Amino acid sequence: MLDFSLYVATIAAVYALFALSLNLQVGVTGLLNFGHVAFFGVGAYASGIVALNGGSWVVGVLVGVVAASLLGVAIGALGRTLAADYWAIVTLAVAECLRLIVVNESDVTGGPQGISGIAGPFVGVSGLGGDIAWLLLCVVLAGLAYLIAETLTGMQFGRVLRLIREEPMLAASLGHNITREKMRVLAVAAPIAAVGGSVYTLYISYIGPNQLLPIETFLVFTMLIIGGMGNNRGAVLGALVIQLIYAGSRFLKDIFPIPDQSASSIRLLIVGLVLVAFLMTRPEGLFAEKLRRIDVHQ
Amino acid sequence: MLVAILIDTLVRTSQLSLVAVGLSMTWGIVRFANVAHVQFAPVGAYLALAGATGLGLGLVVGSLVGIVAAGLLGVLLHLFFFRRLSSFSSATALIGSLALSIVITATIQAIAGPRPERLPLPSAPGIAIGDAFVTRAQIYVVSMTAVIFLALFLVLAFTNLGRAIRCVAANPDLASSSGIDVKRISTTVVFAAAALAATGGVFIALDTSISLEMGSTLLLAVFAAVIMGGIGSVGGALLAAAILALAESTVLRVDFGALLGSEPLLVPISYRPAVGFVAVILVMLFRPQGLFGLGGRRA
Repeated sequence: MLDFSLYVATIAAVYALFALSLNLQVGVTGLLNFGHVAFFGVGAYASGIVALNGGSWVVGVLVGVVAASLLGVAIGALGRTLAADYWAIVTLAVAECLRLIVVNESDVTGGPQGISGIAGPFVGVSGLGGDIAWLLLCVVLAGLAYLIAETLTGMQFGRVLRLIREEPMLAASLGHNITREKMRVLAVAAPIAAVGGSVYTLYISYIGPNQLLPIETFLVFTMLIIGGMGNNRGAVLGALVIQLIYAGSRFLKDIFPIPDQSASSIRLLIVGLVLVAFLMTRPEGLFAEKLRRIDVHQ
Repeated sequence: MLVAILIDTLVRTSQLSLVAVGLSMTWGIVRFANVAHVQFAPVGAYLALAGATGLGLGLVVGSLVGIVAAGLLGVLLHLFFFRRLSSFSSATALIGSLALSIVITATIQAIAGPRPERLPLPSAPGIAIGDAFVTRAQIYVVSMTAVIFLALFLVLAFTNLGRAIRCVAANPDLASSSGIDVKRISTTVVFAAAALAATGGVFIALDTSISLEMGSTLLLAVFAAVIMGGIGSVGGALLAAAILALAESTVLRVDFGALLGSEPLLVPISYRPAVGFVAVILVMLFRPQGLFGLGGRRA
């Protein structure tokens, strides 16, 4: 039970990285990234492929960070001509292309079987010590990401991003280069998710194409809606809530007679219904974004 | 080989266009990208299966019942879910449609299980045309799609209902002030759209099988067809679906190596879905207003 709790907490911290990254894009800038899982995938597979070729995990993480940042800039550049929902579809297509390549190029990526036996930083430490070390590492990383996100949203950069979200025309007329700002926020947000992907891969020492399904992006969206779009604390809280629902649903089958094969669909159903309920009744989430209101007319 | 490509393209066009045309028609009315629309394909197919074998109505009646039920589900979701969400913002509605597709998939999986199913189609010998082979089901699918599109065109072009639908899609406010009951027309369109997508799902099931992934594998190809054809354009959606289907069946058969004068180089069959993905990206980048300049909302 203790190691299960440690596992749940570690994964929750990794989810917090994804949620903070997506919050910078969707919550703060209004960029509906339906292909968020691509950033996770780039980090995860960078670690996996580097490990497969005998490289150190440090190299894997760095490669992932750089590659994700470049991918972020590239899809940010696509936002030049596309309105929000068009861009959402394009990002989904990019992520699906990436997954298809991963499934098919077995020589590099291990194909549908994925890559297993990836060595992480705490190889020598076994048992409880290793678990605690992992938890501490992930919590520290999530804390760092939170600080980065808070700093970015608090400074002028963050104000410009929120202006782009609310009044893109006004932002452009004030001289802000909207495409460049979008590329900048993606260049920062993508590596946060990539680090999450790397850490996740090193922690469970496996990565496969099924972890790049669009459903993973949906999970992160759910975290943000529950926690509150645009609020970094909300993103962390949402990650925790989703992970608790996921972990808790494992015990559901001890109470109700649910066949094993439908356990995963029941879990998704619960998450989906929670999201629907929030959208219908409390779309601003548990922690609503606090915007300073300045009324110019008074 | 040409005949095989033609058969492939016609069948795929039928399936894609039926799902795409509904999305194209409703997009103008609901004003957000409804990702959940493609899920009416598996919903329709599974409901048809339930009607045909579960209720013992037989294939034809069962399919019709399934298609109508899917249409009604579409109306309910529109009235009680999407209308509320799009009153907040189109982003909320878009995320809501994503949530809805997950809920639908999970519900089907929980009820029907993860294994693909088949409709109770009486087995009939296929017909050989040259070196190609066409099944009875494929002939039915293509000819029924042709009939459906003809009917759709006649209704839209020559009836009062059709004129009202086109008015509402073009300018809801003006339509409303001209005495058209926008709410009733919207509901009709939403019903038709969901029912058409469900028909597409049944047609896929007749040709291959019913699976959970039916909706998600259609998603990007359908969006590519809708945007390529121009949002709101029925003919555009059909034509774009045909172009995409042709691209899908030729890209996999063309030997790029022979064209370049080197060793045989074929695109692996497992890359088939990439045609839709890449088409979405290219269309969005270069022709977001649609291939034929038939509208679309913005550049």
